Amino acid sequence: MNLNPAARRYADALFSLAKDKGALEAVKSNLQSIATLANDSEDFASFLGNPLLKPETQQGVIDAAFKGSADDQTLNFLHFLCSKERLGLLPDVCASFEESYLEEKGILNAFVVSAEALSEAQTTRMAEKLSAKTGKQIRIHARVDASLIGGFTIQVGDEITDFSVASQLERFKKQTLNA
Amino acid sequence: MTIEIKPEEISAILKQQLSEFQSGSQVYEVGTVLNVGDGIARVHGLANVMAGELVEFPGGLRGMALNLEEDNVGIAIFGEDTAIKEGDQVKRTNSIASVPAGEGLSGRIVDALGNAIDGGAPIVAAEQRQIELKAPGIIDRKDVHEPLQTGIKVIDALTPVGRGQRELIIGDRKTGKTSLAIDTIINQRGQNVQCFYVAIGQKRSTVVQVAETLKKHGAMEYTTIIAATASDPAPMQFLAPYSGTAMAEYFRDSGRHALIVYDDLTKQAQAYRQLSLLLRRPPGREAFPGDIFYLHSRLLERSAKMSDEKGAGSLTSLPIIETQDSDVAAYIPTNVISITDGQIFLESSLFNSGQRPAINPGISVSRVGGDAQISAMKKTAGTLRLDLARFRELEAFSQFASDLDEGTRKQLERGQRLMQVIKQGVNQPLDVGKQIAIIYAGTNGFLDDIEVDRIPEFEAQFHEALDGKYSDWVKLVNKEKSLTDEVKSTLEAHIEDFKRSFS
Repeated sequence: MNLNPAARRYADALFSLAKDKGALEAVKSNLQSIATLANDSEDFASFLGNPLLKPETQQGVIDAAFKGSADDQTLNFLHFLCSKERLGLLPDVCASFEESYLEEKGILNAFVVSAEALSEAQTTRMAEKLSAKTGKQIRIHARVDASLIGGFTIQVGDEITDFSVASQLERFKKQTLNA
Repeated sequence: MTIEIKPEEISAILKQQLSEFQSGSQVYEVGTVLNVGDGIARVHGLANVMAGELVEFPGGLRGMALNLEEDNVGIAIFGEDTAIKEGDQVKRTNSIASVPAGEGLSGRIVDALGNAIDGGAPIVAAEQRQIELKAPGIIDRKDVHEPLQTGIKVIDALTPVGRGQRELIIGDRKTGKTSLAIDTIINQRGQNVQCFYVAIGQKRSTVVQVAETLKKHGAMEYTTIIAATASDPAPMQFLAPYSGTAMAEYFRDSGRHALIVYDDLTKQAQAYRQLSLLLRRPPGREAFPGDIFYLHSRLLERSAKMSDEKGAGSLTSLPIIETQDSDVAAYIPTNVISITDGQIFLESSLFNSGQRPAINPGISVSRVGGDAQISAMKKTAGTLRLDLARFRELEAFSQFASDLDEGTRKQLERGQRLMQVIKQGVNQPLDVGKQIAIIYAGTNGFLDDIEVDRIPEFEAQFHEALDGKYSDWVKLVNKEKSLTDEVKSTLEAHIEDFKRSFS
């Protein structure tokens, strides 16, 4: 994902602060729920992105919504964003924070697309194989796409390993036409 | 003959290919299109992509990674960008742009990526060559020493071009720049020089015209046209000269001779400017990017005369630059003038006054070609240059012809005749022997008693006679290659003899 560079800086600062204070898990789960909220609630998303609201108003809303439920570090950070008039960056900050968190914990996301739904056992074995190969913990995100005809593709980072029948047919077509 | 097609055979072939097909996994790197427009795509991902690497969009459309930035990659698309959407997957190909090269390209018209666009069969290539290659090193080269006859009197006499030279043709629009280049290609017939004509940003109709002209004069069989026309995307126009050079280098590196015409580099610079601005590279003078000089210098540096150890091949280039209102001090013209080994200036005033080719011999120069002239031409041309220079000095007084002293009047009359001698029709390149004969006649006063208006007529008939009655002399000068006493005296006798029959 292409994130706002400023959001990255804010997220990096928050990440190292939370790590120092030992509140990494708490802040992470807070930000995760905020990201879900921004995703699900249109009202909340437009509140974040509205440049017409004054920082004091925003801070009031934030306090009303999160005071008590959120970690002190998170709340502090939200206030900071309000005072800098950067509340619109919040969804990007959440995403960037998540990236840093996964890297810290040595977790890799693997996106698996298969022609048919994979069984629990298959996913587990796939995760085992991949973590043996990469030396990191693997979190599998599976998706079904019938247009692959058969087989599956695995994307880790920018790299795709393609075991699909569709791409093999495509390759065979190219080879035959060029022969 | 009818071709019998047996379905079983085809099935058998397919079956064999299928059995040989390596199935299994395929690993590639991808990125995602963030935005696309104006022929440029910005892509996220592709973390390991190399600068200049080819990438593939869905549907097989290709692009070239030009800008590698912190969080995205700027890609120039070789084709219509309308089919590309945000979120599309872009694949790395792990290869740098390359084009087919080999003898199979002769007589063909191809695009900047080497695909045939003349409706003919697919190109049969001897090899694939990378379009951006480093120019030959210093030790691999040799000084330019053999002539590349352009067949145009005034060029071969005053600004000679040697094999391996870069000679710029510069002038306003409609001054005959392309015609000069085409005539030079036509004159390479039977000289074992493979020709390449790169059309950049031209009208498609002009390209067709060039191809027809070459075909008519039997020159298409040793010529390849690389066309990136005005309607092709800017990346193609930017690439075309490099592709053409890669194809021509195949001949240079295999010990043969090649000639390449870039028509014209102004348009290539403009295409590159468009690309750079869209990629948000900082603009400099005339909004051209900072590396515009390098764009042309690295291209023209690939023209070279190779050393004997490297096979003694050569690549000669004739870049063309179009000026606005004769302004050679603009950015691109000064750049290319400083890169090349000389320039041929064409002027609209000369063109309109009927002096064609409209070359201004006073300011046209060739920095290395003199060494490549055959000795006979060098001797004959020496006096021509002086006579023309004196004539230009005196030209202003020509209106007062009656008041002038004898010497000045003679000088003027000689000059007027020589100006007639250096005229030449389009698509009529001349053999070097014939060029020497008529220039010799002019500079040595044999034409002084012929009326100025009748000189073209005299010349035409004299050339005919050289083909027929005096053909021995042409053979002699082509053998001797220098003005020996025998060559001189026979020529003088022939001229006197011909003048008696001409009335």
